[in-house]
Amino acid sequence: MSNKPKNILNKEQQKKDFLQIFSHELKTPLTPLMLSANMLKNEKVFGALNPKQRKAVKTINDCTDELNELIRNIFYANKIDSNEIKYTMKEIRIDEIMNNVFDSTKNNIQKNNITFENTTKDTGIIHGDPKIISQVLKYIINNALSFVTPNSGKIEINASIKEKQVIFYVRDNGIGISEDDKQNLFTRFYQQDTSLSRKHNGIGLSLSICHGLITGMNGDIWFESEIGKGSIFYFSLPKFEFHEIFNPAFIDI
Amino acid sequence: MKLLNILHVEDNELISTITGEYLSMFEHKVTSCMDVTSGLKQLEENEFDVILLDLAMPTLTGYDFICELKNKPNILNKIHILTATDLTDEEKLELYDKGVKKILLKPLKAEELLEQIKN
Repeated sequence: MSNKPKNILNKEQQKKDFLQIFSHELKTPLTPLMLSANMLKNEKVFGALNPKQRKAVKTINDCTDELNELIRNIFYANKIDSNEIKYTMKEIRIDEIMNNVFDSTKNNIQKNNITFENTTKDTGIIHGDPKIISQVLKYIINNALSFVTPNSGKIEINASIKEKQVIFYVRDNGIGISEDDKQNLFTRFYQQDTSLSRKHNGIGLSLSICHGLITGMNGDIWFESEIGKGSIFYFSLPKFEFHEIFNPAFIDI
Repeated sequence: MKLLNILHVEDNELISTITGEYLSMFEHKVTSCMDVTSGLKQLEENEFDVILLDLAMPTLTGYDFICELKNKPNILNKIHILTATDLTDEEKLELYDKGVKKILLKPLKAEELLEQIKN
């Protein structure tokens, strides 16, 4: 039984209901939009496009994916707030998880002429939720990607076991984070630059999601950064004892 | 590639039309029904390889559709739920327990839809 006052519980329920309806109403028009955009892109379906049409169709597809990701993140963040995330713990080899993340993200990074390296050497086994760990790494890599410069940008990922924990990191040579911004980086809806002319998109959700997911697995997340030189985002997870902390459960992000 | 006979139960006209048009491009035969009653009627009269089913629909929902078929596992295991509703893990498990084959979340990519119904 919750000890929260009834009016707070009602408000929480109202917020949940609102988000549920909001999500459904956003996804409904997005469905035919995404299908139509995909159909246009596949020239076997509606025929060949000229270069200008192809570029326009690519823009529609990219923006549709972005919008979908944004809606997904809003709900994912809300799930974290309501403690609805369940972790499926498995034995995983850290080099395998890093290779999988590297393979599934490299095309997107390398197409922008950014050097991308996986320097993981450790082959140790940890107990963790591979889906969640991969998800967090992808969020951090995407974050790095939006702050490095095409052609000279570098992103490195690594994981190694240090005593009783495994430490993952994502290093970039991007624009870095100012002292003021460092205080709020894991805060929901925080954007370093809030001006209308800001260069970087997003509503500041992904790092707060990472924070929620990692602390939810009894891990830590932190970073080091220097303006003009780049940033390193770390997260650590306990190597063992996971099975004692969590009940295995089904999750589908 | 095997050509499939597909029943699509979906109340949103735009989603229904575009999905039908897309799958027909790959020579699949799509029968679209805008409500549960006409979907069930189609099942009495015809055999389908795949059933694409929306959940949130006015009057009778996708859940009602599934309930009507509760003693017909051979039909239930052709159902691919296609929903924009955020289902909890428990709700998903419940639907799998009832015998549905897959739960696909809207929006989904055209190629993915094609891939999922083939398997």
